[in-house]
Amino acid sequence: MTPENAGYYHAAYIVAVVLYGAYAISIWMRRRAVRRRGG
Amino acid sequence: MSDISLRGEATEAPVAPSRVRGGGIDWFFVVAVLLVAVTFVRVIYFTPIEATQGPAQKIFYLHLPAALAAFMAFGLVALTSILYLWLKDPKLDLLAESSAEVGVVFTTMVLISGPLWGKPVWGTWWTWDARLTLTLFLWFIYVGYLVLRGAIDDPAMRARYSAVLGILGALLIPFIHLSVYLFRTLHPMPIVLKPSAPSLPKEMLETLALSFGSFTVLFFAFLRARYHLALERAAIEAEERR
Repeated sequence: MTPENAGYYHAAYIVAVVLYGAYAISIWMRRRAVRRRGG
Repeated sequence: MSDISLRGEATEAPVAPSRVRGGGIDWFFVVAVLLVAVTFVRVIYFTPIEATQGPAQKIFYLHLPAALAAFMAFGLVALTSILYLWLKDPKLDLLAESSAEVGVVFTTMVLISGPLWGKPVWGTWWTWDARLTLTLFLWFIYVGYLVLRGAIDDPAMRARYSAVLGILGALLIPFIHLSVYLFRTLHPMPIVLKPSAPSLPKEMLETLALSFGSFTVLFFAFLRARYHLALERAAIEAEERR
């Protein structure tokens, strides 16, 4: 019988979207800050 | 900021600010996001559920490509660090820095997705076996690498010290890959990266191949964006030092 554990798999995919998304945003924000600093 | 440099390397702007400033949409990144989205749709709707482990086995399509991307990232840190120590080109140092940061992000994904898969399948979030412990150690080494870079003001000294740490850290990668053969561990043996043919059904193997491809493109998209950030920052810091 196949175990019911879809919650773990859903959690992992949500974490992936949040982590990779947050990293992409962090690069974009840092580039914007550097450009402002450079004038 | 210190003006002291070791033999003068890594203190000049690697590229003029006007040459690194881009704008608009990063199409490479858009392609990477679309590929990852296609992968997620295929994993969720078009990939069979493994009978013994249940839906949690689908974490595999996140976990394994993240591990591969992390190994590529830290391998690239070692390679560019060796080349930096040889050629003293500051762009190599910035590429190493960028690759280390991207590698830490992918290793973080490995360290989160692993326990989320381990809990339903092994019955525990974490076990201090060789594969897991060495992966955590690798993460700490490269977090330390990034902290070290933040703590040294002189660009040449920063580049040289971090190059040494970047090379030493990557020596762990083959041990992590072989740890399941060398030690008794809960972590399963490789089912794809092994001398014999992959032991996966065709549909799962195709999904895994798509996942490998899309996360590899995402890795290079992150690396490219982060490297441009490093170039821009180095150019502005060099201007400010003048």
